[in-house]
Amino acid sequence: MKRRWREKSERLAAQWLEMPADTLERVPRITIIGRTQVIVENYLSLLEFTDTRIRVATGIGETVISGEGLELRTIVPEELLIEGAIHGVDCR
Amino acid sequence: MAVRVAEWITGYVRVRVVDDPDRRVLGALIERRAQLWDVRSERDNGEYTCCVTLTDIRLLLAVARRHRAKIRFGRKSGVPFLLWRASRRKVFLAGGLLFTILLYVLSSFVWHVEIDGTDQPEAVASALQKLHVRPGTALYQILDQDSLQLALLDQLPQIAWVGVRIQGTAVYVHVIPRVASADPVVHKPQSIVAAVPGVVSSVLADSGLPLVKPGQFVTPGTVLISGSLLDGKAVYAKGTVRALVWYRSQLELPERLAVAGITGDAVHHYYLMIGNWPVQVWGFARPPYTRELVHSVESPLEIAGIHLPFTWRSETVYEAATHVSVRSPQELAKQGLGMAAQDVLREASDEAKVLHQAILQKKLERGKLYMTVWTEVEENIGRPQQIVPAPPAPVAPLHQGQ
Repeated sequence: MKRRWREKSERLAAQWLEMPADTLERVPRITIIGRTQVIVENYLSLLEFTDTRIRVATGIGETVISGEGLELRTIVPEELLIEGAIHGVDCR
Repeated sequence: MAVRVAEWITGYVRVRVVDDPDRRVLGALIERRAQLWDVRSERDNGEYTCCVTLTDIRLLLAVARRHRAKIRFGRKSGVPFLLWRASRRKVFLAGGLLFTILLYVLSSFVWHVEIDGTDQPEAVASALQKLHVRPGTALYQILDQDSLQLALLDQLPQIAWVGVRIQGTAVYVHVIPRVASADPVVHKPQSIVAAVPGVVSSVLADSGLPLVKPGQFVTPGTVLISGSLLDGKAVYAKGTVRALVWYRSQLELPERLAVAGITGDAVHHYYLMIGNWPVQVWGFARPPYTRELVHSVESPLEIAGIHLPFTWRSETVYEAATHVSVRSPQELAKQGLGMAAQDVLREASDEAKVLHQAILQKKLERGKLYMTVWTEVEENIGRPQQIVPAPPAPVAPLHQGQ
């Protein structure tokens, strides 16, 4: 109950103040730069990693990045930097 | 491939994880926040490589053992590995050390001495050699710049100034040669003779033979200090001969003297000048002055540095009056004496001094005082006169054939 109230009020505040949703809510921010880089912030864990497919668990479910020659360039607790020829990003 | 400075300092290894198709090792490492990057899947299944810092190697090994994956180490980078490699190449290290030491040792010698500003660099070089400044001496053996400068100035009389600059292993010496000074004035033999008649009061001969005594009356041209000595040598006579000299002055002084002046009464007028046309603005008084003196000051008007086509003229009109003073014969006589003294001193030499004054004659005629003043002055009466040498007598050579 308490948790729900807090989430609701945060969402309301974010709407009122027209802030990006990721600053308040626990949702990932996925940035795609060109066709070569994907940055996943606020991820939870890495589920699968091959050179054609990377699955990342995030707060809203699973994010699947498909492509060719994928590499995990940087791994820090807040952020994953994926490089390679990106074909698609799916949220499931 | 970003430059990872912090990781490079701690050291990192590229590892290949074999037999891990489900990426359990990778997942566990990420979960434990191990520092790893550049994860790359290999073609054949179950293999991937990544970079791990040296601090997380133990963690990686533990995780791999638990998941029964194999680890193969690849390229090792970073400071710890560099040091380890260096420790295996002792000769290489020694070479580096030797190079540093050699560089240090060699840079503590003088390699180069440069002398400029003189047409005789050899003299300066030899003086520098005496001070041990030559290529090959150790820098700590030679003096500092200032001492070298002073020592060089001491050793070489023909230089006026020398600047020494030690820059690294080079010594730069800049010399300014002494320019030969002009020859001193050659004094030709002369005597001191009297310029005016008088009674000698004191004789001070710096050089030469004094021929007069105090109390002696001399006429112009009398030799006071002779340059011809008793032994026949002619010298440059010099000295001061003071004597009492008398002057007679004739004066005419008017009894009445008109002096123009202002009475102190004045009015002010102010005008604004438009071109040359004055517009009176303030001060309209028209005083009944019979004679007046007008003093006007014009100042240009300007606003914020821009000159206006007007000028401000402030005018002061003074009342002028001529004052005629009639002076008594006593006053006139006193003034006459002062004027006579001034006149005489102007005529006499510099160190003249008025001793006595007397009025010889005084006559008041047609509003003028005619007087004759006698002034006694003590002054330097000496005047140089060249000695014309007598033609030398033919002298027979003493030793012939030499």
